[in-house]
Amino acid sequence: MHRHESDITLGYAGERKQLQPLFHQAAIEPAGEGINGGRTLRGREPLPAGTIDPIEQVHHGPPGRRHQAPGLFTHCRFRAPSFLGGSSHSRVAASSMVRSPTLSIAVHITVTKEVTSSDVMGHILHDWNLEDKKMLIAKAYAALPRPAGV
Amino acid sequence: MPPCRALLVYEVLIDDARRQNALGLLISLNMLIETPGGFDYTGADCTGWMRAAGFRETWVEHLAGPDSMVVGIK
Repeated sequence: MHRHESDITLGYAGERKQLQPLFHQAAIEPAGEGINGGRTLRGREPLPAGTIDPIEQVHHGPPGRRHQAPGLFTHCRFRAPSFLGGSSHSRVAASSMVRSPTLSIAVHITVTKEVTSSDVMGHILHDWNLEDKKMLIAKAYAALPRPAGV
Repeated sequence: MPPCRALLVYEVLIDDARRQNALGLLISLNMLIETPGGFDYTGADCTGWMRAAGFRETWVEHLAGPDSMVVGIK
């Protein structure tokens, strides 16, 4: 059974109004625990329409846990974006940074999807620092079933 | 059929000596630029992290092209 919720951390510097076209109806909620992974969006590519399905708005806060971009930071929770796909990558997350002369946006999506009996992380761990790499492997280990007889 | 207890990680792994796989090294540099702390790594790095997490058996296998996979068995 998989839960299709994502925690998305948006960090942006610049005018808040510039964020809206990029992230549509961004809902806001504190980031949470989950399995992480990565996808990078290039340039000012907007997230595809319909991929961001906000759950609720909770919090406008100070800079988030991963990024140090100046300006406002926003923590969001969305339904799992469809661009994460339906296979192994759907249990992982998106990592994106959007930069322009006036706007810098960093996005991390943590999909709180349960890991099944085996897990595949492809081109995912390289997005994360050493601490997060170890955390992700530990979560994968914890999610796998126990060996027989243990 | 017994349940699978494997974690598969595939990546453009850097060779353990960090002398051969230029693409992996370039990807590592790219991750440093594109992400707050990301970096590419060697098979030995990954099997070490898996062992530390508790995986009892780990190995590295080359896949197609520059990709290799690291297998961890719980």
